[in-house]
Parts: sequence; structure tokens; C-alpha cells
Amino acid sequence: MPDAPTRPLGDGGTVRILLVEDDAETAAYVARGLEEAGHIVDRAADGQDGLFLATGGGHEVMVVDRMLPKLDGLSMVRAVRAAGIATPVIFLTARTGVGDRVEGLEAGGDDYLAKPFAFAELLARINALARRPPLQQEVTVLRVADLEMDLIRRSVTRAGRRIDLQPREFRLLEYLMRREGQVVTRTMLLEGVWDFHFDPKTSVVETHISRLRGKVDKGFGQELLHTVRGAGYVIRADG
Amino acid sequence: MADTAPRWAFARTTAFRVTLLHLALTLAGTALVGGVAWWVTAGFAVRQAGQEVERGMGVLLQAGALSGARGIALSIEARLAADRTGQEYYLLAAPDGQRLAGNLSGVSSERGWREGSIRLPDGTDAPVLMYAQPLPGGGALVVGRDLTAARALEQRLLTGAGWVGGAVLLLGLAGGLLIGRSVARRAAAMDAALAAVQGGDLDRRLPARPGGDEFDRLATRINATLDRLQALMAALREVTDDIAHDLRTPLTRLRQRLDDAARAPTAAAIGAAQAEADRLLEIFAALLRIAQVESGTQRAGFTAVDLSAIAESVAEVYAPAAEERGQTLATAIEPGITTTGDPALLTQMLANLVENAIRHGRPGGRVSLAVGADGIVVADDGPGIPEAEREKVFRRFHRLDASRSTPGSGLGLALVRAVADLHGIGIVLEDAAPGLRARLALPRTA
Repeated sequence: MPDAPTRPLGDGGTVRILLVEDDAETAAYVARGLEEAGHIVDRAADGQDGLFLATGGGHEVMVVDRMLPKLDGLSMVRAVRAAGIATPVIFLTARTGVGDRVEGLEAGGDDYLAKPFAFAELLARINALARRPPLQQEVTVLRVADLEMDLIRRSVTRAGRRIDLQPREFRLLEYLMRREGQVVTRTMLLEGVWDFHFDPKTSVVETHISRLRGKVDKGFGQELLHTVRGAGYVIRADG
Repeated sequence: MADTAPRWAFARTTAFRVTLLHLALTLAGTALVGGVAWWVTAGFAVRQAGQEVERGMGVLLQAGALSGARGIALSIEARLAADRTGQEYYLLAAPDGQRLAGNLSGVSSERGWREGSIRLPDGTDAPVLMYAQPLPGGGALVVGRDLTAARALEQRLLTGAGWVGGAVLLLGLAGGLLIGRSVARRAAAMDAALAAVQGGDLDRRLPARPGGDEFDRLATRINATLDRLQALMAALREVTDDIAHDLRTPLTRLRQRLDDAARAPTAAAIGAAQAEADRLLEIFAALLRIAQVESGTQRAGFTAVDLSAIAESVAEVYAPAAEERGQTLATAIEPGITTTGDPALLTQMLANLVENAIRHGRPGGRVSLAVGADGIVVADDGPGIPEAEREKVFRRFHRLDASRSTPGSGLGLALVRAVADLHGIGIVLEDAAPGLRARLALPRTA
């Protein structure tokens, strides 16, 4: 991975992001990070401005704090959705409430991130949402280099050789392959593959990845499953 | 005693007011009984006298129709002669008002009923019920009956009723006073005890006799509430102390790491400081989560949860982690075991238990997870926990001395307990000889 230090998370492409956050320091920190990653950030410090900018359109992802002055984040997103704007939304919250996540998703949010969060986590999730394929586009076969996954026959082959996977390993690989070239964090995997909405102390994700790697990469010339230090994992053909 | 209450405080008590109401109703009942008694006795006598008057009047008028005033006079003479008890009174008056026959005088001859007083020969007055009837040829006929007996009976009834009413009133008032004072005294005692608790004396309890009346039951309930309050206060104090103590250590470490980084700002030194800060944030998040679970607000979002599926999923996630330690994760999960609750929290509870078993189990040993109708059992074959310590491990930050060196915040089992309590799941730790066995009993209603 020669490019890892310079573009640790850069999976290419500029995303236009609306950031609605009232805490100036957090907003500056997030905006700086996103801009460094090559994205364009519009900022709003309260829900009303946020709604105004959001209805202006042109954003690919919105990052919205839940606690906002004038108009709280939930209401803002409800209003945005009511206006027929389907731009993906990530909620940020200082609350660790278990029910809050569901509440956020019900209000029209697409993802949910509790403060404090690692910046890499937010970036990975923004990238995942910005690149989400349209739902109607139903794929039956996923391909990364010579790795092929048949979603109908539930079979995986690499270079024509069959690879036997446990059901959960299959889901893990499918999750990664659907996001080819995107960094996927531990937390995203825990939520998306195992439906774990907390952070286990044991390194369960690492263990599962290393086993999957043993089956998918071991014995083949090219490595497909890469670890991105401090961020997560990515599956991609080029090194 | 109501030493702080004014002397007449009982008059404002509910018991006293209830007594007054009860008294009024009792008096009304007594009056009703008295009325009926009058109706069937004195009233009856008066009605009977009236009937006799009517009958006598009828007979005399008949005599008058047959043989004129003369006939009436003769009849009156005959009847008076036959009346030995002296109860009958008659008057036949001529058109000019002169008495032609009878023993009455000076009474009105206008038609109708009236009651009058007749001076008897012995000088006493007798009450008489009379009916006067003008006659066709002028003059009038008056027939009367003595009411002395009826009036005497009435008098006796009234006297009796007066005594009974007075007695009821006195007894009721005395009872009300006594009950009112007793209630006031007990309420004052409860009030004093609660005031003491409010003032900070959390050990103070209300007087309550076991198996007593509603006051004792109420006092027992309030005492239980006070027990809970005291326990919560103690828990709060304990948590505050724990947090103060257990957060100082990582904060001190963070400070040291930052000092290191200030001297030699290498990526490794900064990374170490970041890791320490992350650990602190994690501890805070865990504490907040436990506090939130303990507050019980999640109950509103409870749904039916497939525990078997959750257990399968947890086992699947942790099986490789166990294998890395050379352990086998053995499962015996009955399908279709459900409960009511929050799926995310129940998943975390099971994950924490399994994680704990893997971490504290013997390397190369066996960790087991069983789910059945009886509940959930998670066991390992590690060193286990001494019996005296088994309750304490559920407390925040409680870590066995033996495990101080291993990673972990000491909050995992505290969260397990909080989630179990929230779901009404009973949890006990047992000696698995060797190892530790956590046994979770599901609520019956599930």
C-alpha cells in the first residue's frame, strides 16, 4: 500500500457535504478534516440555517448534530425529508441513548454516530453514504479482481477456485465487496454484519477479518483485503 | 402525641369529618325509625279516633234524617250514657247556637275537622278531635273523640326519641373525637418521621406494626420507599466515589503521556496519549449507558426479542476470539426462546458475559453458552470468583485484585446487572468447580 500515508482514506471523488453543528470547535475540526480529504463543506450553526442550506440542494451528504439551537436536528431532518429531499443524513449526538439511534433513523436519518467519534469513522461513513448505489440497481454478482461472489447461489470463487465460507463470513465479505474501494470501520462492520450496536472489548472484528483473509487472500498472489491503520478495512484490487 | 398540632387539630381531620357525616346519617335513620313508630302507634290512634268520629256522625245524621233534631238528641243522650270511659263528645246546636244536646260547648260549628282542648269537670284539659257538620234545617252537629291517650303516647315517643337521639349524638361525637385524635396523632407521627427524613435523617422510619391497619400498611409502604431512596442515595454516593477514584488513574496516566509527548513529540507518544483519552471517553460512555439503563426509560420501547437468535449471533461473533485463546465455545441453544425487551441491550448483556468468560476462562479451556426455557447459563473453567466477591463484581469499577493487570474497565458486569434488572432477569454467579457460572433466570411473563 504505497499510497496509504498520503491518502489514508482517500477513495477518490469529491463529496459536497452540509455540516450542521453548533459547537464551533467541533465544526471547525470536522470541516478541516473533510476538506483535507478533498471534500467540499458547507457549514451551518443552527437548525434554521441548516434547513435553508439543505433545501438549496446540491449536497450529497448531510452531517447533522442532534442538539441544535433554533431548530433541533431531528426536526430539521424531518423538515428536509418533508420537502422531498432524499440526501443521505448522518446524525451526530453527544447522547449515548440506546433509543436515540432508532429515533434518529425514524426521523429520516441514514446513519448515526455518537460523540466522541474518531474522525476516520465519520469520514468512512460519509464515503459509504455518498457512494451508496441506488436501491433499484439489483446486483447478483459482486466482483473484485478475480474474486467473485454469486449472491444468488451464495457461492464465492477466486481465480475460479471455490472458497467455502460460513454464513457470517459470507455476510462480512459481501458487506466489504459491496463497498469496494471504500474504507469500512470496525464499528460499521459490527453494526452492519452482526447488528452489534456497542463496542466489544475483545478484538472480535480483527479475528473475523484475519480468518476471512486466510480464506480469501492466502495462497493467492494478490492481496485484496487491506487494513487501513487507524481507520478500518478496505477491499480493492490495486495495492 | 400531636405536640406540635393545635388542641383542636383533630376537628380538621378526615376521621372527624367522616364521623360527623356518619352521625348525621345515623340521626336521620333514627328519625325515620321514630316516624314509622309514630305512624303505627300514636298516628294509628288518631286515625282510629277520626274513623269513630265519622262513624258516630253518620249514625247521628241517619237518626236526624228519620226523626229530626229530636232523634239526634235522643241518640246523643243514649250514646253518652253508654260511654263509660268518657271519650266521646257531642254537640247538637240550634240555629241560634243554643245547645240542644251533648256535652260540648263553645266550639265552632263551621263544617270541617278541628282539634280543640276541652276543660274537663276535674279542671284538666283534654285534647279532642272534632268534626262539625251544619244541619239542613239550620243548627249544627259536632262529634268529637278524646285524644288524651294518643297524645300521651306521642309524648312518650318524642321523649324516647330525644333520649335516643341525644345518646347517638353524644356517642358519635365522642367516637369521632377519639378517632379524630388518634388519626391526628398517627398522622402527626408519620409527618414528624417524614420531616426528619426530609431534613436528612435517612435512617428514620415511620412507626408501623406488622399486619396492622391501613395506616400501618401505608407506613410500611412508605418505609419501603424510604429504603429504596436510601439505597439509591448510597449507590449514588458509591458511584460518585468510584468515579472520582477510578477516573483519577487514567487521567493521571493521560497527563503523564502528554508530558512524554511534550518532551519528545513522537507519533508513538501522541498515539499513546490518544489511546488513553479514548479509554477515558469509553469509560464515560459506559457509565452513562449504565446510568441510562438503570433509569429504566428504555422500557417504553420494549418488543418481543428472540433470545435464541441473539445467543447464536453472539456465539458466532465470539467463537473465533475464543479459538484464538485455544478455548472452545460450546453452545446449547434451544430455538425459539423469547422475552420482552430491548434487543440491542440484551445482545450487549450476552456479549459482555461471553466476553468475560473468554477473558477470565482458562486458556485452552472451555466456555459454554446455554439458552433454554429455564434461562441462560454462561460458564467458564477459569479460576472463578471467591464466594464473598460474587455480588461485588456487579458493582461499577469493581475489579478483582487478580484481574487488575488485565484490560477492562470493571464496568462490563455492572452493565450486565443493569440490563438484567431492567428486564426483570434474575442473575446469580455460581461456582462451576472449576470456573464461574452465570445463571440468568428469565421473567415468567415472557
